[in-house]
Amino acid sequence: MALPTREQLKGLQTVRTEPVEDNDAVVSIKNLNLWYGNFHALLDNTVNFPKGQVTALIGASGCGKSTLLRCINRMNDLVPIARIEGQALYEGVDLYESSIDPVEVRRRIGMVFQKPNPFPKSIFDNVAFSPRLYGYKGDLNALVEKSLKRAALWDEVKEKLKESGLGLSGGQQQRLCIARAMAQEPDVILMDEPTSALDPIATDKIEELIYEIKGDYTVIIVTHNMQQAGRVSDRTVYMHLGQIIEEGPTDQIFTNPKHEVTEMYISGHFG
Amino acid sequence: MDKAVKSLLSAEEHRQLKARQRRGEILRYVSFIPVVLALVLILFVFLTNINNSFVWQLVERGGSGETFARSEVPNAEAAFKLELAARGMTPEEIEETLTDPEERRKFLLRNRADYLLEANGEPNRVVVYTIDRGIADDIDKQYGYIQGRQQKAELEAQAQEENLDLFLNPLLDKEFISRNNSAKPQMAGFHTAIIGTLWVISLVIIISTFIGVATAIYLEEYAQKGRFSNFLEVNLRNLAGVPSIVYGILGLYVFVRAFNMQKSVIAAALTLSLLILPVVVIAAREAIRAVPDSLRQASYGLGATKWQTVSRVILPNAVSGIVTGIILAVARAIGETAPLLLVGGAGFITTIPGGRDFLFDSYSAMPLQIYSYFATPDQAFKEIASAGILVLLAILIFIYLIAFVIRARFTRKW
Amino acid sequence: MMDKSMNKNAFTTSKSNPNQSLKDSLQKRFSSRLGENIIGIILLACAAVSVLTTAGVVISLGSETISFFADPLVSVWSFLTDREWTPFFSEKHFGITPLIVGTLLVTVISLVVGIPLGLGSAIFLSEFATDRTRRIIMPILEILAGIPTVVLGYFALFSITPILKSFIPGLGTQNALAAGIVMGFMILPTISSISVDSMQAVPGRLREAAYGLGSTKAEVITKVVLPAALSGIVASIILAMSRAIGETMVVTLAAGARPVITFDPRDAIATMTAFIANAAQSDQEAGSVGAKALFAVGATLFLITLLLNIISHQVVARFSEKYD
Repeated sequence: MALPTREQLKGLQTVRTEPVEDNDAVVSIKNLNLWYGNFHALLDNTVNFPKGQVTALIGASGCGKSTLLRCINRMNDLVPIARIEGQALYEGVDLYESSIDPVEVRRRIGMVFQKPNPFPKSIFDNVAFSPRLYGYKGDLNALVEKSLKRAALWDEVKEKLKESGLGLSGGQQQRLCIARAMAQEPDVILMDEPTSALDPIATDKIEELIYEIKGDYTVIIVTHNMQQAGRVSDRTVYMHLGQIIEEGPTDQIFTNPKHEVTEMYISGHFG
Repeated sequence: MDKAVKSLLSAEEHRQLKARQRRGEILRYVSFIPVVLALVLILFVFLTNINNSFVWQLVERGGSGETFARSEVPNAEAAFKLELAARGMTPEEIEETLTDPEERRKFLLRNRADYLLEANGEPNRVVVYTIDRGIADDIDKQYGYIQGRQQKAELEAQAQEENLDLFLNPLLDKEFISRNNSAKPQMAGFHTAIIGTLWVISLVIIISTFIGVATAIYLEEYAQKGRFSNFLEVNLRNLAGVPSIVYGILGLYVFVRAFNMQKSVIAAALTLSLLILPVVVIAAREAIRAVPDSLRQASYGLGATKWQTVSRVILPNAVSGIVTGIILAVARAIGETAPLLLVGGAGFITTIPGGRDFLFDSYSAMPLQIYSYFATPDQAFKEIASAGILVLLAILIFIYLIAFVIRARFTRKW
Repeated sequence: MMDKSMNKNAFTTSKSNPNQSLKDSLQKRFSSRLGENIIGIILLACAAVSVLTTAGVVISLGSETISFFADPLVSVWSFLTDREWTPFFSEKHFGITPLIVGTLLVTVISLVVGIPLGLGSAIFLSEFATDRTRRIIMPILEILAGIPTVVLGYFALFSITPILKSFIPGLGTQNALAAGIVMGFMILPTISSISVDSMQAVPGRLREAAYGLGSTKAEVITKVVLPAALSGIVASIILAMSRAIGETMVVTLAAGARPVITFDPRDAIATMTAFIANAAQSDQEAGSVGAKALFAVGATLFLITLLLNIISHQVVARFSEKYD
């Protein structure tokens, strides 16, 4: 069977298995549309992300999963040609209301990027970056230590906090970036293909870490590695051509996909 | 290889191919010639000025007529004492002349101890030049080292005949750098010009860095891409091509006349700042653009505001590029003469800017001073200009080296 | 608006309503917004300085030029057609032709010297030099570009002219030739650096295609790289020409202040810039027609160089589109 085109997907009803109630959601996307100039990149997306769980966004490249992720902490505001309609609710607050400051939003919702991007500063300064932005009043050393411990990096770097973050290996750099995001003390962490630039061993460590922090943090992770989605996530959202085709518990999506496009993707017919 | 080629090509074709390849070799060497010529020119510029600043002077002495062995005079003070004694002063009078503040000031204005490589055939001598009325020295002829060397026999003969002294005098010495300018070549110094340049350029650095970097930040990080930022860009590009003397006209009209700053330090500084502004902006923009976007994203993702991102992430990572750009632009400003002719006048200035209103003082600057030596009728200033040029070039080379080191050391590969 | 939502809050459960305290904490804060806005305004004000500079140039040149032409002694017609330029003489003539011809003469000489030098060094740097050689030569060219023009002027007057005099009879102490030659070296880095950029921008696939067809290196350079980089090279030459026309100190020192119409490079001439430099030092009264002549010549110079710069950038803009 051929893949459906945008035309054919028009008016599609997202298939939802065991949908998350609004009350249990920490982040809710409601009828969200996004345009890059004239290009309609996200079409009427609606999905809830449950508190304390890991949700994976999967789909072929260009399907809009990263774009959707970046709507949650308003990173798309930095793209001048992006235009957004609809709602993204965080704890019931619409993040796109005109009075909301995107900077405040990003303070509360941490983000980890595709390629490790530590600042060319010391490891300590990297982690302390965002607390310093807010003028953190508490014990900065303790906060840095706590964040590095949570990111499972402390033991490897405790002797060299003053050395440059760029001196670390790729996997360590990415865990440093996670620690840096944790120092914001967020309860949601967005991860945009955090292991795509890493080798398998480093990937394994990051996945372990995600597994560890589940419960304390709500993690939303974009990945195009389906095995990874299967290993780390509780729920999976499958997107295709800017639409959410299907969402549900990860094991359900992987073992018993309900939509045929999902099934084709899962079984590796494209992607 | 040749064998294989031969078997494929006929003898004629082979010959042709060889000729074609030879042309390639010729092009390589021909294209290298300009590089050599450029290098030769630079060396030639340096060497002629070095040559000119070691001068053979025929001097008609009006002072004591004595020169002193360098070993006997550890410093200028000792030379003055010996000279005054030779002029017939008593020890008391000498003491009086050299210690009484007013007397001393007058004395130093008209007398200068100068080191000579050779005086009438004797090496390492010290002479005290004087321009005091009545006993003044006069430079009769002055040649650069090689020219003087070639005519040494004639010069010696003339010295003998007319009872003149023949000195080999290195013009560029401590005295030259520390003395204020004078209308007499024996007393000429570059201090006024050095300090003038220092004042003007310090202000230029402050003004052009602030405005230039701010403009670059605005264009790269703040401005919406659109008509206004396009207009700013085209405008900056065209400003970069405006001849420097036109900036001088701008400075003359706006700062000197309209703002009534007169031909002052501040008018020159503002004019030169505007002159190098486009260069600073272009360099700073390039440095800012070289900061990878992933760092910007990381900063915004951590909840930094725009200015926090600029000040804590972008500027620290662009600083070496920005500094290199500013240094190179400032080097250009230091050597710039044409606009100063309009906002500075080629003024003959023997004092340095100072005091509370130093911003509005008149000034000289190194390139301006060099140019004004040209306008002086006394031919001896031609060689003095060379000494000034060496000072200017030495300072510029030093600045370029700093810029190259920063660029080499801090260029980060992302 | 605020009151309304507060009221609503009081009567409904928190579940169906936004978490008010969270919402408040996410609000745009006046103080931080104010700081950001002030910084934005300061940056914009600094960016506006360059616009003011342009305005200043146009106003200062324009207003004095207009009042120059308003003088009964001057007319636009005589400015363009009179063959004499004697603004400081008792019998005043204001024909800019001698200055234009002088400028052109020196510029042409400098291009005759500078184009082969600049192009040659560009070919060497782009096509033959190893990375290491390039790293040594580039700074040298930068230093050449950085030698103050007053130094080069002295050099032309006191070093080049005496050498030329030894085999060119009738060469004046100040002459267009020496100034032009030195200016040729002065514009070498301009031509070289832009030409190198445009030659490096020629895609590797074009070179490979030529090599694949059996060309030698020289043939690849002359038949493929140079034609493909031609617009960049042309742009660099136009830019260099604009620099040569606007250059002041070399011509003031070495070429003289003699506004005559001559095409003999051995003669002393006066360029537009040299006139401005000399007029600036003469004791002309600020309001006199002679002083205003300085601005009129400045305006002419500005328009010519502006035109050349615009043409050069147009050429560059066209060539950068070609390979995208």
